[in-house]
Amino acid sequence: MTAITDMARQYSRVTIVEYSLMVLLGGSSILLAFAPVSISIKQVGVALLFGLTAGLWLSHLIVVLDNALTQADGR
Amino acid sequence: MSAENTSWGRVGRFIALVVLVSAVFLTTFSLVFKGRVLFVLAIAVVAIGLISMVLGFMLFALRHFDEIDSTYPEREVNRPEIELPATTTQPTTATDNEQAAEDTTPTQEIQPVPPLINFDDELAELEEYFDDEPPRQYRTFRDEYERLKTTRRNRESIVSSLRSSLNSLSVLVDGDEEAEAIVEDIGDRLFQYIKAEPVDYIEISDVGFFLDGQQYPIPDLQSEKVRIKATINNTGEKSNVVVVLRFLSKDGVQVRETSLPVGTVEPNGVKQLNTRVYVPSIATSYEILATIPETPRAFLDL
Repeated sequence: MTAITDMARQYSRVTIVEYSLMVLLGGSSILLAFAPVSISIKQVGVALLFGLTAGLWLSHLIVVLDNALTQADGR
Repeated sequence: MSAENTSWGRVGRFIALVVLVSAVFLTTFSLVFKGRVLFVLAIAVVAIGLISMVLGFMLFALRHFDEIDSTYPEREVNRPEIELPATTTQPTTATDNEQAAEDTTPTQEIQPVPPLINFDDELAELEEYFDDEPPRQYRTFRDEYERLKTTRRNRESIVSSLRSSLNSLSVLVDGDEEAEAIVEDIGDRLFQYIKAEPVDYIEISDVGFFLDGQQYPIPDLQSEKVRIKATINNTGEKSNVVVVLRFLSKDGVQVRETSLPVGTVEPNGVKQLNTRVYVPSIATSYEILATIPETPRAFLDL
């Protein structure tokens, strides 16, 4: 529990939402891969969930990079 | 400081996380899928891993991993941290908090205070007035002021509480004209600081338009690409300034507006604007003003 409150203090709200969604979508992607459903559902579902996770991760990195550039300019 | 907290430690952790997560997805996909589906998904995982590495090294080159939590100005509190999802962040959270705790120790370097709320001289005079035994109210005020000088975060709320602790101080100096004047002056300036927008402290001067090194008035420069030079002076907090330049026709109608990013201007700092702009064919005059965008725009200061 303290780990969660610590995290909430340290990271911005956007970051927490991004991380939570990444865990949720990435986890669902892996769970769905092993779920007892037909192979075509698996292919579509896993690719979709993985794509969403990857998109979140890359957009997160781009925002961090953008902030780092602004910060580097201030030095 | 342990190796974990150095920039190399941080970049190492970043790479390890990217590799680990990529490996988990690759293993899962290779267990479940076959043939072309596996091939496409594997390519996607590897590509995203590689892009992450490139972005990670760019962040490293920008010294992003050097400074977690310590030097970011108030404006950028929304800055996300570089770590992968919650399951992997718990151990690093602890070390980062230790670092944050270190950063708030009294040995922190002094952050520049805008001249408007720089009371060093006033406090020295008050100290003299109280001789060697400053009363508790004064000490409270002085401690708050020292806090103002060592942090950029929550500066506005510190200024507000400084202003309220000034009330009890003004009762103490009641009767002494000189000390009263000092306290009143401090109060006025604190109020002015609370009231003012950051952009009110930005002043633009010495604006000139140049063609081939010669300065001309706007009507002589129509349809030319010219160099604009100006001096930007900041007497307030550190701000990311964008200058807005508007060209007007002879009826005073705006014909063109250009945003010229100046970059970060330190408190009491001066920056020169020197860039090229196009003067529209019917422009006869111009307006220039400083703005501070809500979200700082990233650009390279060349």
